[in-house]
Amino acid sequence: MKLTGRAAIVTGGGTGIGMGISRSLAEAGAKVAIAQPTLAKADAAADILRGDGFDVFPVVVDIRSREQVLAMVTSVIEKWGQIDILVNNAAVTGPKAASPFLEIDDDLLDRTIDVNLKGTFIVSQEVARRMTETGGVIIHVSSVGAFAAQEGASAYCATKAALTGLTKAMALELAPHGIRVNCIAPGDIRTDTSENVEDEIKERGLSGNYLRRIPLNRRGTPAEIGPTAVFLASDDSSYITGETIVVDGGFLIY
Amino acid sequence: MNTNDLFRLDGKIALVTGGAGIYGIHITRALAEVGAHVVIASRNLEQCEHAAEELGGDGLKVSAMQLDLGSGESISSLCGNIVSKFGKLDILFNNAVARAGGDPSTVTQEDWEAAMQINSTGFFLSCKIFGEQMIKQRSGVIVNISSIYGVVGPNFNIYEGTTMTSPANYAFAKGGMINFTRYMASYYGQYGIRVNAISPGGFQTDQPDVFIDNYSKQTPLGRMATDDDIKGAAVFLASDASGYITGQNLMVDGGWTAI
Repeated sequence: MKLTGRAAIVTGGGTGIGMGISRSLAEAGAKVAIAQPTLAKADAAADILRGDGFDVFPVVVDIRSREQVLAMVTSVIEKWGQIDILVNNAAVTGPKAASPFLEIDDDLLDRTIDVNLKGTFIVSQEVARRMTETGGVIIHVSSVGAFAAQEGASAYCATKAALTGLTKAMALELAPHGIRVNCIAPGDIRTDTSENVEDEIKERGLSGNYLRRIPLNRRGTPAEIGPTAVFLASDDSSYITGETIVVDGGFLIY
Repeated sequence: MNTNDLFRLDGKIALVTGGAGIYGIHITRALAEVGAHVVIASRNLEQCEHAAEELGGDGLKVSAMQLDLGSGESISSLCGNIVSKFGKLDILFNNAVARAGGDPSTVTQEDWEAAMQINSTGFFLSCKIFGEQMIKQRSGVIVNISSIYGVVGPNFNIYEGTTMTSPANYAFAKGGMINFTRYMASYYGQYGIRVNAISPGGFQTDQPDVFIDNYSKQTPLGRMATDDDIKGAAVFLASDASGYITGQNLMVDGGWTAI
């Protein structure tokens, strides 16, 4: 499962699950561009990984802007010559995305769709246009919310379900270009934004009744998502495309 | 733990049923290459011994043992032999399958029952008996080898111009295997045992060219599965790299089920 010398972009790669993915890719030998909407978080994450001896660099991008996405793609190619791996991890998620369906306003709806779906689409398009020269791997980060309703997360669930279809359609159209496209759907992962998810759900007037004990009986960690990204990014998954790997401790079993 | 170490199986004891067969041998090799000691077992002990010797020649740790999945006693006795020789069983691959019988126009009740004896009862007893050992250990990994035809129905058009068909029992057994994977993942989770399935696409062997061509055209990656394609998925699901994955069915199908 080696990624020696491969160049990767991880959007949202400086925090939470994205940071877990950046670290795992780097440990497997990849160079990683850590893309964040703010320089402070991109820099902080890059400093940590550089301190551990990895080849990473911070990029600032608002993935809703095609212009900024193009600038990111250009800067990575200038630095490393090509892009071998793209992980579309950036998303409006957690408390920021939570609101009862009846109360969601246009601002939250637009923001959720523009980042989670349209931003993912734009980054994929601009990176894939360059990957056609070399082949590569694209990995979307979805959620168990794509398959099972989460209270107060209707817009989020809709965008994550959309990624399932996008994964399959991109897999079909990009296969002739030597690009595989897959998806990871994490379950309940403990991050800074989801640390106190139960309290926050209740503060927002949601019942919290649908939180449940899962077969592995514990929350996951970002470090447990990274290796799945490494597997999907590596040649060891060369016959896997259009697939979503659910990493959820058994959450979706019932 | 470093990501690269998570994909290692050093010190692990694995069992691959049918692990010397044309498909199982690649699973066996994959697990052994990342450090596991692999027991391969089937009714054909001689074939297993031959494969173990060959892989041993490559510096891999592989042992051959006897197993008749049609007999609960045989499964129990294999479990006892593994535990007495190695002290434990960390990883079980339910890979063996009986392909008895054809499509509904030709399959007989006897064919069906013979297939079910292995694919249903034998598979269940394997999970139960080896699972009991894993419960004692409070750890273990079970991986079931299903198929794209456990997820979607067969496309009979791809057999045109050949004498091949998709066996009726295969769809029944492989589909059942996937939901039973979820059952076991749910039941065994409390004991720290993970249970997953892999659903590979068609494996290229000596099929007629017209079939290989028909099949490949239905697959975004434009080809059938080859020797190495199962290896990464097998190692991934057997190792701690998938420590938070249970109850999942991983498609290794070149995109067959994506379209």
